[in-house]
Amino acid sequence: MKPVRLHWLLNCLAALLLLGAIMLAVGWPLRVRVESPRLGMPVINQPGATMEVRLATSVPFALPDLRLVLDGPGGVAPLQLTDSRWDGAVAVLTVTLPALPDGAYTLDLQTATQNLQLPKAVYLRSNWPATLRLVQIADLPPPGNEPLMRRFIAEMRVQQPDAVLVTGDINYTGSATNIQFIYSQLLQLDAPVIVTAGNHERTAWHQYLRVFSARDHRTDFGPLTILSLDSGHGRDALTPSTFRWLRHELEHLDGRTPLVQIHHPIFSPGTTAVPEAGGTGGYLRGLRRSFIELCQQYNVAIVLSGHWHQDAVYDSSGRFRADRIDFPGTKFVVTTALGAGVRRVFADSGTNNGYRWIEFKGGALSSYSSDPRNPVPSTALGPP
Amino acid sequence: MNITTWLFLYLAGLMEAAIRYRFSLGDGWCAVVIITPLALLAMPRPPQAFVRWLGVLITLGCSIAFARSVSLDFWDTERLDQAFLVAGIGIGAWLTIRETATNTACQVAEWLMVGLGWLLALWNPFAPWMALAPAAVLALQLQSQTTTSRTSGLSAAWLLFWVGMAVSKSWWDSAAWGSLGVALWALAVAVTWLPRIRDLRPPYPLASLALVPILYAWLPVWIWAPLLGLLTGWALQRSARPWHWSAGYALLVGMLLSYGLHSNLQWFGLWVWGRI
Repeated sequence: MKPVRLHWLLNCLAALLLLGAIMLAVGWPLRVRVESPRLGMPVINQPGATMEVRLATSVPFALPDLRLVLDGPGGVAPLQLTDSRWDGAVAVLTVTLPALPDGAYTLDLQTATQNLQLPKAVYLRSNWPATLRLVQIADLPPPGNEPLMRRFIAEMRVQQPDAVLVTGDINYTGSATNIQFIYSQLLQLDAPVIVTAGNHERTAWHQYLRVFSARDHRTDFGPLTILSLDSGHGRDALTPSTFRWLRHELEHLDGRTPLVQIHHPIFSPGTTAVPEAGGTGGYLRGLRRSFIELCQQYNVAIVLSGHWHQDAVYDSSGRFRADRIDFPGTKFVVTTALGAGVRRVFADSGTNNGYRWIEFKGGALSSYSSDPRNPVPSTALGPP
Repeated sequence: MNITTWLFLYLAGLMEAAIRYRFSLGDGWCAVVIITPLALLAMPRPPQAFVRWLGVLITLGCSIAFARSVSLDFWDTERLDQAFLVAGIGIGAWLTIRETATNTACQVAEWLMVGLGWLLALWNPFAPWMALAPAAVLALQLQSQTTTSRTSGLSAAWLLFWVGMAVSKSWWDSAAWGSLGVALWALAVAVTWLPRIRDLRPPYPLASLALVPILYAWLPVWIWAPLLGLLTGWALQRSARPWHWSAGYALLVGMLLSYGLHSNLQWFGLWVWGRI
């Protein structure tokens, strides 16, 4: 070997050693962060089923000795590890859900140096009723409108939906106190909370990731699969990797009915619906046509959005629909803001919910009204 | 490729991460702190020779401290202590850049280092900045092997500008894809330094198809990035020598312009494939 080449090789070796030493300096002692499940990305399944716990580690491909426990009103039980693998540099542990009573559980993770607790990360559910009632909210109250959030939580504790979908714009101002307030309120719900990011989450992206970590993710919910997409990166578009992920998940539904939540509405508001007063009225642009085709191909029951602070319903051709509930194809539904003051969300009803009920019977969409007593889905009203 | 261009590459990535985490000029002191090293880049007078080790030490210390502060956490772009660490990385890199102004072109081992450094992002999005310190050390090592022979060829500045425009294309999609794209690109450049491949004479009009993603037509990153890397490597070996360190600016400008164009401006002809 020529001396020059040897010199280069030694340089490279020295640099690699230095890099390794730096990685140890950064990652020692070994620590982990639970990416999922957590509130916003829970696992909902029956005892005996398996679930995946995804862990980021402080040193790549080094997992400390750890113990996973489910802790809840139904009891405490360790989780039995059945499999483990690496997805990139994320450790994916497959565990068996223990035989505990149905309910919400905290996932406890214990290592030599850490004791992490993730409340309401796991829901045990043995039976699924014929009718599932989901509630969707979007554009949550900013600081100053906290009573609206408290009122919603109080209503849900009475109404007891089966799940609450939060379709983005959770932390309007980006303040740490605001997102902690929202988190503490959502924690009071009995139902699982499934979250996706909106454009306002980018105001303080690190806080959203710390609290919810929920970007593109899937929640299997009995006969349903809820696919939550991140469109809030400021480009009003699906990115190719998000689109690819969505297509993969739709190809593996295992007989479940798909439901998509994405912060940005799919269609332009046009002249029939007036978007958020003073807002951009943004809607999905990149990969929209492909997204709609995918929804048609895989019989997506409903696509839920927010962003406009305004109710609206469209069919697959982008036509505004307020005439009937049961038009064919995917329903593209926009839901008003929970946190933007009291506004009428129906042309022909006096309710001021600020949220939407989505009802499935036998796995099929049966209603998506803001008022469970009124079968008409919604009507665009114009600015408040 | 001049090794200082790596440092520009890493700095551009750091700025992209700042944008992704919503760094804003309205963040007051944080903005001042982070922008200061960028302003230093424009200073014409190089520092004294002894400062190069200081540059390496600052880069090393700040990159370790920054990587540790965001390990298993996320970058709060309004935190002043993290802003100081990022500024330290920038200043250290600047000192190193100034001391390794016109060194020899990198070869296969260095390109492998660049590729491996960016692959670290698959572990942690901020990890590539830990590779800055080894890069700085290598830069000092290579400084002693400077070659000054002049050769004519392609303009390095223009070449790097277009590389910057193309190589950052996958970044807008997700941080992991962006880093993976740069890593695959660098590893492919390394391949072009292998003896038999180095001597190939590719049909440049055909090979320049690898630049198609400049127009935002999306291609899978694992196909496009290596193609672009091969094209870059062949072109770099036929570029004029010696390189001036300021060619790194062209890379930086290309990357930033690309990111700006494609982040949200939605200029005609630069849209996502599939946009209506």
